[in-house]
Amino acid sequence: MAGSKREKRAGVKVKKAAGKTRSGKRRAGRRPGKAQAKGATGRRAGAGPRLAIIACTWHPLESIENAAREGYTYGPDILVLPVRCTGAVTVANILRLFAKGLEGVLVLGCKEGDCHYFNGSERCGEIIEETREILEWGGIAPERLGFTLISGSEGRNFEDALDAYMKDLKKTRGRRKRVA
Amino acid sequence: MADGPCGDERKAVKVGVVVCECGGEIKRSVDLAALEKGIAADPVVAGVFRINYPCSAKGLAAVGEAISKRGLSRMVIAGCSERLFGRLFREALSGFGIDPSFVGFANIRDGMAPGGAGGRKAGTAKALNLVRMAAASMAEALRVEVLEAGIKPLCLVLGGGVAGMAAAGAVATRGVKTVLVEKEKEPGGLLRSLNAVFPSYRRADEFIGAMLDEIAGDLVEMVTGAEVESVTGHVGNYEVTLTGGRKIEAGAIVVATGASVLSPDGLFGYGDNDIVVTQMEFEHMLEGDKQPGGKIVMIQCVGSRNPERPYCSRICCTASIKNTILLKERYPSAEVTILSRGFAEYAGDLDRARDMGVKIIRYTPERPPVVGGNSVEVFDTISGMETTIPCDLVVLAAPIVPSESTRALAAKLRLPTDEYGFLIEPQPKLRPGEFVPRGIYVAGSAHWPCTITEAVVQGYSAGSRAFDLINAGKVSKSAFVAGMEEDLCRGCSRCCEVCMHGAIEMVEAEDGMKRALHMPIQCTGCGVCVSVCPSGALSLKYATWRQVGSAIEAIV
Repeated sequence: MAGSKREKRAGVKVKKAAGKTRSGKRRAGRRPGKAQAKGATGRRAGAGPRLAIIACTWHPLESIENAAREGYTYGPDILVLPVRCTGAVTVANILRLFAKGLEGVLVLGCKEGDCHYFNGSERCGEIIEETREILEWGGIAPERLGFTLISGSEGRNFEDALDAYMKDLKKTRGRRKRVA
Repeated sequence: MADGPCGDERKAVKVGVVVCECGGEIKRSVDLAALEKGIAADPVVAGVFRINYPCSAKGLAAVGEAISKRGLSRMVIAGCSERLFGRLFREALSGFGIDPSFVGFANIRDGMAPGGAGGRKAGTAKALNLVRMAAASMAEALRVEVLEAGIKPLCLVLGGGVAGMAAAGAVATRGVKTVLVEKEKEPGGLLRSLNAVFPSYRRADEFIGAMLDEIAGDLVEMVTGAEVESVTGHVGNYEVTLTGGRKIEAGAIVVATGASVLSPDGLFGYGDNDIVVTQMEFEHMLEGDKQPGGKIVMIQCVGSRNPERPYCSRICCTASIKNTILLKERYPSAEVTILSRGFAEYAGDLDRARDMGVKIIRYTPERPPVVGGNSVEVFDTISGMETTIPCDLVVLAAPIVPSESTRALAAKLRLPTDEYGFLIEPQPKLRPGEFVPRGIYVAGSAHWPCTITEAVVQGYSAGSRAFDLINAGKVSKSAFVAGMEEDLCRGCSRCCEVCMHGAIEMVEAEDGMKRALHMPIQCTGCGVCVSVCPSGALSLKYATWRQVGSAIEAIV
């Protein structure tokens, strides 16, 4: 069933309309209503990974907002930090977020050629590489810093990016224990 | 920049938070009473108000009342997305004395807050975090002013080809002084090496003459035999030094420096085999009195649409067909075969050439034609057979490539180029031909291979936009830009290298050290320079280091 596959996604919960699965349709419940919220079992508050998503306000933030309007909800411990352009994301600020005790940071930028300013997300890729090196020196799995370029047209782009990142993050969990 | 608001400004910081109910929409996933309590406990926040629909006229009035009652100077709207109502709140709250730069947003509605798995408790905790971050950031926000700069009433057009002449004409007919700079002795550009032009079949020199008549007058000054030596300044106020030492102060610049044609050395025997010439050379042969050849084979896509130059040069099909028609009109007995990889659709008189008896054979890059001493062997993909065509002249259609002078100019003006070296504007779809916000416009083949008609249209377009800029008299822009603390700059020049908008220049300071000079009027506020600055001298005025830092610290 389409629904059950989605429920397995880590830290992500899709609310189903009560009693109706409407299998085959990707997004079942349009708005998270009372009945839907009741049906949402799974992890308790605070049990999911604490994450920060740094999102560029042009494409990625639009995708995130579209995802919400399409009825997609994600872990309660995931905070979205809008930035005007991912080109402005600095090594220091990413490290600060990790220092704050977050398990992961996911940076979402615009696709190549979509940057509102010319090449912000391309530049950001370089900053991310730099930061990952530093994280590795510090014994933090570099995969905990995610970086994906998405387009803003559909909420689905954000959902897919977050799901893929969650999978990567899960893999680092065992490694983190070995390092620590 | 690093200090945040100081002095009286710091004393006046009083952050208020408006929690929107959004007609019960937010209540579903957030416990508003608990959220309000949590926000009130934040020492940064001076007052918190719950209002249903603050975006309505009634709601805005309630917000205004709260502001005046508590003497608030900065506001955070916790509700829907900034994208949706950012402008509305900024405009409305400035009516209550709150500067637009002091209005922050915490999106606790659209997916930012609905807690999903954790239910309302988790949703409330998350919303609280988002509001705390926005409030902490607002408490450290700096006032950003609208920037303004005057404009020198002169337009500089670089390149005296068709595009450049059209641009100069467009500016001058509207009454603005224009200087047209051409590096050759005479204007005309690539057109000067053509015989007749498509689609009118007018003679090229006649066409150039007509364009020159259009720009004749006091308003256009033509400077020939000169190139750009160096450029300083910013939008509205460029100082351009030409070779020879002349300095020109310009408000806007139109770049129409054109392109050159690839010399297909070594391709299909060009250079070694006497019967192989290029279309450009063929144009000259047509000028003469003698018939250039009895049996002619033309090969298209020579040196283009290959891994090295994957683009279509766009004009060669039209040029080859035009030359064929000119030839056949004068020498009807001439036999012409065109070996093509498929014609570009705007190839004009293709049907007319066919009617005149021109043969067209389609070849593939996997089995390219082989040029011999007096024949060309080609695999015809339609018939599936190898054909040998006897000939006494082979004409190669070589592609348009960026010229060296365009490359050099791009470096001087710090204009971005694509992977081939053509100029590429930051937003080719939304603002074609414009380097926003630099007051630089591009037209013609410097940008991409284009036909004469297109070059003229692009020239008119660039010229009229340059006029618009100059006519406005001043440039003003919101100051959502980067800011610079000169004292902290170490002169490493990384910011200057990464800035694609030419907003940073390295200048020599009094102590002889090179320091970065940031020109806010040209800055787009993308922050790329901020992320590479090793000393923290650069910061975004609307999201300073301190703002981002305190927002991160506010997460609980």
